[in-house]
Amino acid sequence: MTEASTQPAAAQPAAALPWPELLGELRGEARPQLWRPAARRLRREPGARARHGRRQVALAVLATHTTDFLAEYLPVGALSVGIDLTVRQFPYGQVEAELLDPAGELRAQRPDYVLLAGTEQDLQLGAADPDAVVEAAVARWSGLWTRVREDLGARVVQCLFTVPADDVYGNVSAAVGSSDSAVVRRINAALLERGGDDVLFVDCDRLAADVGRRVWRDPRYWDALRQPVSLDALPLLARTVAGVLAADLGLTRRCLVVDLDNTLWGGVLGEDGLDGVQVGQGAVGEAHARFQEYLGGLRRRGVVLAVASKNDADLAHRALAEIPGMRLRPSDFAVVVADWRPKSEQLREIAGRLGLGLESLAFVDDNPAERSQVAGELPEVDVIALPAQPSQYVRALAGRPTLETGRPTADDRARAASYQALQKVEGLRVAADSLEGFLDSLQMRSLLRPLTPGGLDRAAQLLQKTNQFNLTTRRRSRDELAELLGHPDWRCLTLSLRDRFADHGTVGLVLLRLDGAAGEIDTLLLSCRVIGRTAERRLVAAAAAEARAVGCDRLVGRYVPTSRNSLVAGLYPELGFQPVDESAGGPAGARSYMYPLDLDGPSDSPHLTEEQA
Amino acid sequence: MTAPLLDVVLAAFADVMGEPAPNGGDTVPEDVEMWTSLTHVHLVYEIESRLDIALPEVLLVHRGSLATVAEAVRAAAG
Repeated sequence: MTEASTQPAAAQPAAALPWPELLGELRGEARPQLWRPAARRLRREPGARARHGRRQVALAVLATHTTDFLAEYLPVGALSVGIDLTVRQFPYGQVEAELLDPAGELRAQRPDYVLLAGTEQDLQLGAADPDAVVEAAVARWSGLWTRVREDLGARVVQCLFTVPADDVYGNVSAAVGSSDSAVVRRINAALLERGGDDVLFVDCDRLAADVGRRVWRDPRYWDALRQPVSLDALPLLARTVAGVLAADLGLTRRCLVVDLDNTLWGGVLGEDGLDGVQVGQGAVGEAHARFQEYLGGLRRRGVVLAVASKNDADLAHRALAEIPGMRLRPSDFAVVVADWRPKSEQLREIAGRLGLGLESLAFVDDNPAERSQVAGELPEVDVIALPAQPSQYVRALAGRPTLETGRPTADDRARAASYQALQKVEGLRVAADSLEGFLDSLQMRSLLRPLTPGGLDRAAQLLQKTNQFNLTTRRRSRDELAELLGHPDWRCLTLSLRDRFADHGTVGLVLLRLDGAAGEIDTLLLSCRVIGRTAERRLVAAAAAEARAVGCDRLVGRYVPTSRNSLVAGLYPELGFQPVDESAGGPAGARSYMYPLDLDGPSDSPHLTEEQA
Repeated sequence: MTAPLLDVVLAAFADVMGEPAPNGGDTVPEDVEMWTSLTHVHLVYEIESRLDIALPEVLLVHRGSLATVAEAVRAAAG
């Protein structure tokens, strides 16, 4: 048996663990002995879905093979990343029939996502014309994507094909264009290219290579049950699907908080001194250097790094700057907290300084006691256990579903630097005489633009991820957003912001629906990185201008409370909007406001200079 | 049929089904609601994992008594 994880086995049977701990174990381990009882327990205790699921999602599974075993694991895997997932399977081999039936159950279900999966048995490998095989496969699956999008309005999650473990060309199969291995690789590459940003992919071939192709696929299960993935590997597949969904829904972690001693480097700073800790030299030092390099890669991908350490603050800062061989330096961390408080308090401070919710944090520490303290106090944080050997540290992060990513946007790549700049901004705030003076000193420049197809990815990401400064929290998908582009009744504007410290990229979005004499702000949101910069005033003023331009006499705003957006409960009154009496109906606690457009305003921000596109 | 192998099968059964076999080695699928075609495959997998053996594929779809499963395990284990 091959482990799909490096984590040690849970000390307690899974069935006995409290749900938060069990879900943490599932994020770290992908072995059937853990996942099977967890899936069984979730069926017995469905109430856990509502308690631990932050989003409700419906997934339809359409495949050319049996999916019963995968469907068992998907809900519990999804719950481990905060998704209350309802899975609906359809008879295997009926992919086209289900999708093309206008009166079928699939159409009635209206799933949010459709998981499409085939096997290499579908591909007619070995045919005389490999080009035709590739072409046929791409035409088949990309045609299905179109049906999913156009007929169901759902997102596609496509499983890629796996290179067969056995190939008659053996060692030279990669060099022979007609070999089964080469054809499968070409099909995968062509699907990835054709799907672009519109399709979510599960790279099954990468997973198969990870666990070993002969572990991934046990031919006995295929022959007897038409089950292409072995029971050993199924939890890994389910966990990866969960991660892909989480990334698309904005439920993955934005900030990774790391410990220092025996995590970022080998040894204890307070005992071994700056010259005694190990990075880059020797077996232990090499392992820590490799771990730092992986963290650096996450940072470049857009994950914000922070430090929570029980150390003397000056010594910790000096260590980050001066220890020879370090792959990460102080500029790589958005926040460094080093003192003697409990780690849970340090993490609260980090979240507060970054303007992030605790559910946006992951925490990695070699010390089980520290992990336990944080997990107990802050169950929202994804606490990542490190194995005993530093050489395996990278493995503990790689494949973690909470750190899964979609295709990174330019804004993702700039995010870490943007968070880094927040600390400099805080320094300025403390030194400023007044709030107005502080805002002016930032020398902020904004750029309002109509949303275009090229900006859809980032706008959809903001819609999925933004919680605090989000007036209505309407989670439109990318496809739903695309439908609003160019629609005569809608105006979609994005706002980019830069200041003297950083270019924060696209950080704001307003969606305005024109309804006769009223322009209704359907969506108004800002990234937490720029809360307090008055950028919302620019967005609302722009919405008012758009509404006036088409003859509207009033601008309507709506606040729909959630557990996360109390920050903006008073926004519309602050901007001069008047409360509107509402009849019963709509979300609990929702309030509507109106601004008469025969008045000047709502007032724009005096602190932002608008740039020309 | 040696007793220890049946014990392994019974232990695997209890783990997979979440309840012990009500009639020991004489337990058949009709006795246990949880013993479906799906959980039967999990049972075979669990036995393979515990004994580090590969059972014949026919056992994946043939569901007899636990004693017959144990007999197949004995044959596979040599």
